[in-house]
Amino acid sequence: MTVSSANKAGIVVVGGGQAAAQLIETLRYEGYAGGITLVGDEPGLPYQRPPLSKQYLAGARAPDWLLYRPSAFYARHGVDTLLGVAASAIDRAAHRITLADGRTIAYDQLAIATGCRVRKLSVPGAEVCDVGGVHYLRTIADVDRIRARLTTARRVVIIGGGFIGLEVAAMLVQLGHTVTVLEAQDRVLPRVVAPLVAEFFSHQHQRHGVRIVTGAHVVGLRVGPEQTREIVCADGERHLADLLIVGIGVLPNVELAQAAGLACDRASGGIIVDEYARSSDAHIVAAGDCASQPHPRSGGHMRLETVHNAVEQARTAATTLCGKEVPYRQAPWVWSDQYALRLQAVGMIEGADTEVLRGDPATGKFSLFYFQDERLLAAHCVNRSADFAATRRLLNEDIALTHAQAADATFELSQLLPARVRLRFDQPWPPRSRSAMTNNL
Amino acid sequence: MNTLNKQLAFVIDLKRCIGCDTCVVGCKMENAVPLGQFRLKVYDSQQNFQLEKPVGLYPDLSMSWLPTMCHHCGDAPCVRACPTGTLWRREADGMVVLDRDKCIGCQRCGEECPYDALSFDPDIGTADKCDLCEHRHADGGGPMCVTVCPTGAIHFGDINDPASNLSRQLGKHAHQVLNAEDDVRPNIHYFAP
Repeated sequence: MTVSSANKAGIVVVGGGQAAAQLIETLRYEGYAGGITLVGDEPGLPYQRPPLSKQYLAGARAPDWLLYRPSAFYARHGVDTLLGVAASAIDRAAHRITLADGRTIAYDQLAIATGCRVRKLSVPGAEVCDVGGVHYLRTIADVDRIRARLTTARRVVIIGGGFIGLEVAAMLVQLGHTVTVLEAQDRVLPRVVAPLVAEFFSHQHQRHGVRIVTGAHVVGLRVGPEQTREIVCADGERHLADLLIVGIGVLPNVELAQAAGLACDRASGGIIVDEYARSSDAHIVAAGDCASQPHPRSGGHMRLETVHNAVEQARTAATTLCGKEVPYRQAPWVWSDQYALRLQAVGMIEGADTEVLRGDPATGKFSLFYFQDERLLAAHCVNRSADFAATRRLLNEDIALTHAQAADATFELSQLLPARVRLRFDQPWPPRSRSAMTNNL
Repeated sequence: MNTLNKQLAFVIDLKRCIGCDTCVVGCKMENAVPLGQFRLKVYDSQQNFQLEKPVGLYPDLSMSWLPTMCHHCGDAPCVRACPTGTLWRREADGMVVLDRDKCIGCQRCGEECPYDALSFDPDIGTADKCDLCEHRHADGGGPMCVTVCPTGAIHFGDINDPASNLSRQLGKHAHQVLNAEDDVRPNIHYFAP
């Protein structure tokens, strides 16, 4: 075991995703001048995952395009990067982490942004089929493997009708593949949107030629002829796939924190943090998919798997590490691009008892607002970005919206928002008027 | 933060601006800015950019105009707010660049900009902003607003080049930036109206 000589304690960031990159950027922006070490288990610098199921899958972009910040950024800000090696243990008493290759790194403060990993399919035959035959989508390497198969695969089966599954379906059917989506629940996007929105997206996919099978409980996988995979459902239906992609959710990477004795939330599965992203150890913060933050309404904790959460919670964590206290209290938001449709969701729909539709889904542009009595909780906007942006401010600034205003598509929601920008010069200019000019003569 | 060798910037002489909106029209035509959206706005004395009117009581009336667009800030809040790296600051010339292919239409940039300089293209669902008419630079052209301004109120160039027209202008006249207390190092400098 060796101690990294390059490391000068300071702040160590464990995790190689968007939260880690944002943490580092904010640390430097807030003026932190100490050492920063980034430890990531993926071989490359932090990159954006959302395009993986879209532009990158389509082959339209190179890996460098995905980078959150270019390598020069890390060099310029004096960040030591230890990539391709996972952290294997945290010694909280000694303020030291151990890497998988045996090296140890000292820290003054530690930031955990280990993110998530895909939930694997666990049905009979999955292990046998897994080797090169069952594809997941989380990393650049995952998509590179899928793209390699796309050259020969015609029939694609996607297990899971969530955001990832539907985005991949949209992209692949447009590339000419025959696509089937198997969803265990009775509709697509079951966890995240109301039936009306789910029905709209289901219809759009079917219109583009995607076959969507709901209530499809996969009970087994078999190896078929010529590298195909046979998917067996509980009702006896079988689907043959040249390419099988599984998108059934993710699991938080909290084992490192758990083993170190940090408090984790049983229900949401993440590392418990407060609104300042502090964990149960005063020297450790956590941010992003792996962190469970206080739920604004239930009193419990929740874990958010969104870009917005990764970015904003990481900002909060970094300011906390810099000794400032800026609470993270924002309406969560997420988006999904499918075909020429952009779904933008803001707020949390749980507890909603009333839905108010704005616009006509038949036009491809509509928003669905969720209320609990008269209180606005959330909105799901399809190709109505102005509604989305205004609703985010309504929620964050606690501004009321009536059902009638929400339903009236001609009513600009931005009218409810206070003017934010005021242009002014510090020093008043000399007046320019007839009398002033006359006096100056 | 590091020092940039080149920093493209505007100087706008408010005494010369007559509020004709030719810059607005030139910008919209050159960049096909959608209806109702603007990369450049000209505000009046009361900060309206439409239905402009003077301040004061007749005959002691006063009116000035304030053209403003992206300030290509040295410490741009939009760049910090953007969750997808759509907006970034290009070191080669200090321009704040927008990559539409990365934009997810979240409009966080618009929320953070102290100058309301981001617009949003509802047709393609992405942010839109002044790019200094970069496509004209290769042929030696500058931003269209500079070209079309009938009074020569808008100047453009490298603020870090002491020999540039911009630097010479700044050396001769008192100037201010907008919203200086925001401390975002904007790159539009104004001369008195």
